[in-house]
Parts: sequence; structure tokens; C-alpha cells
Amino acid sequence: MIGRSERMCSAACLELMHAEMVSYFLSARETRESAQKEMERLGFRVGQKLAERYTKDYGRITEPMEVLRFIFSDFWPVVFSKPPDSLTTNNNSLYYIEDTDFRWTSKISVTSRTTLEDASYFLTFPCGIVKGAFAALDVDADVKADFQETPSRCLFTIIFKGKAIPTR
Amino acid sequence: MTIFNFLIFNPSGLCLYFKEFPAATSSKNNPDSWKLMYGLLHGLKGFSQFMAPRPSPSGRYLRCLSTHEYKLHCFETATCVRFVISTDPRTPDLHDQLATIYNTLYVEYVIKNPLYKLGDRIDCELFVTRLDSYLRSLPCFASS
Repeated sequence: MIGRSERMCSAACLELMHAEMVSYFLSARETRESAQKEMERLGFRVGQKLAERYTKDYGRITEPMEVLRFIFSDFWPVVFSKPPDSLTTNNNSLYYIEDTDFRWTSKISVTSRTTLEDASYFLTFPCGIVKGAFAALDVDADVKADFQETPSRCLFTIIFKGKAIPTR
Repeated sequence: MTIFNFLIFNPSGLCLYFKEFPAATSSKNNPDSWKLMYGLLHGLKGFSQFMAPRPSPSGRYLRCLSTHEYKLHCFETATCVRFVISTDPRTPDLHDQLATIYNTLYVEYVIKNPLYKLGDRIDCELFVTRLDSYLRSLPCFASS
């Protein structure tokens, strides 16, 4: 199990800083795509380092399926404050992690001037974190996320590439 | 016992949110009423501070204003955001409920909502729906 450090970061601090980060990138880059790419790269580096830190007491994890299990049951609850709700697959290198109350986006709601699409930029950094964690454990995977009706319900799609396809 | 209106004012006097319940037959849903309300609260704040027999440790003086027909409960935060609720005169003090609305609804679903810009009128979906169900769940609310 991942050991819990006594010093915890304030959740409000993280939420507000993430909100400012997204707003900064959207205004400082010419296109929304380049802003998203940069946020994903940031998340990727953070995810790589987090995976290093949280696996320091583990032995080698070689199988992609083991990595996926690690991400689902050990990594996710610590990084995103609560365990995810379900893990499903289409049996063809696509895996879905569903979180019905994703803490990083559960406070977001649309206003009269904004849409759900504006809120979707807040999933880029978390996707980058998960992608970076996979990469640190030597699994090449792409991670995308969408809202299911409201910003608190999120579905993360993990696309395993190349020889990294997990076998049951 | 019933609730008539609920308002939120920002530090510069803008009405950020106004909700009227069906019990209020004389509608106050217009900017002039809101400005009058803010003017009254601002004036009363200065007056109540001036006339205080001893200083208040919390810095807050005005709590509620009663008339024969309604009672106005006020809650002012440290950031000078004012929450005002107008109920019928027999309702007990709603100061704690207004504090709960500030802590659990306004801070969580408005301030922490990255899609909301400070100073805009509040129309965040989550805030509006949760505030409505919270106000309707209060024992002093009765739909008549």
C-alpha cells in the first residue's frame, strides 16, 4: 500500500491553482489545441514523478495488466482523493475507468455564458498525469477523458499502444 | 412560516443573485429594489456600529430587521459579501443557516467554479439547484 505522508496538501489550494493554470494556458497560447498539448505535457511530467514516488516500496511491475491494476487501485485513490468506480474494457486494447464523482471537476457547473466544452479543458492535466504514470512504468498508453452529462461524472479512456496491450 | 426572497450582494453593492419564492405576491425582482435594499443595509451597518453600546468582537452588528409583515436576516462575510433572506416575522433567527449557505454552497459552487468570473451575476447550475433544495428543506419554508 502507498504510505501516507503526514503533510497533506489543501484540496482547495490545488483546485484553485488548477483553475488558474487552465485559464492561464487558454489565454497565453494562440490556439486551444496548443494550450491542451502543453497542459497534457505538464501533467505527463507530474504523473511520471508521482509514479516514481508511489512505487518506491514495490518490486518490479512487468505486466501491463499489473500496471493497470496498480493505477486503478493504488495510484488513483491517492492522487485523485478517492478510488474510481469501475474499470471496463471493450476487449480490444481499450479500457475505461469511470469516476462518478471526480473531485477535480465536481465543483464545476455551467453558467449562462459557458458550456460543458469549456469545462472539458479541466480534464487535460489529470489525463496527462495518468499517461505519465503509465509511461514511468514502461507502458505506452494514451489517455482521454469525457464528461458523462455533468462535470462530476468522468469517463477516462485508456488506449494501449503497440506491444503493451494487456492480456487477461 | 415562509421564505419570500433571497439575495446576495457583492462588496461594491451589486446584486449578484436574487431568488423570489411564490409566497411573495409583490415582486421585488427589479434592479431598483435591489439598490434600495443595498442602500438600507449599508446605512444600517454604519448606524448600528455607531450606536453600539460596546464593540462587537466579530465586527458584525446587524443581524435582522423585523417589520409587521416580514423579517430580513443578514449575514455579512469578512470579504463584505452580504447574504440577505426575507421571511415571515415568526421565523426564528436564520443567521446559522445563512452561514451554512456561505460555507457549503457559495464557496464550494461559486468561488471554486472556474467557469464563474468574480463580479458576474451568479447563474452556476450547481449553485442554483442546490441552493433551491437547501432553502426548501429548511423547517421555516412552507409553500402556501
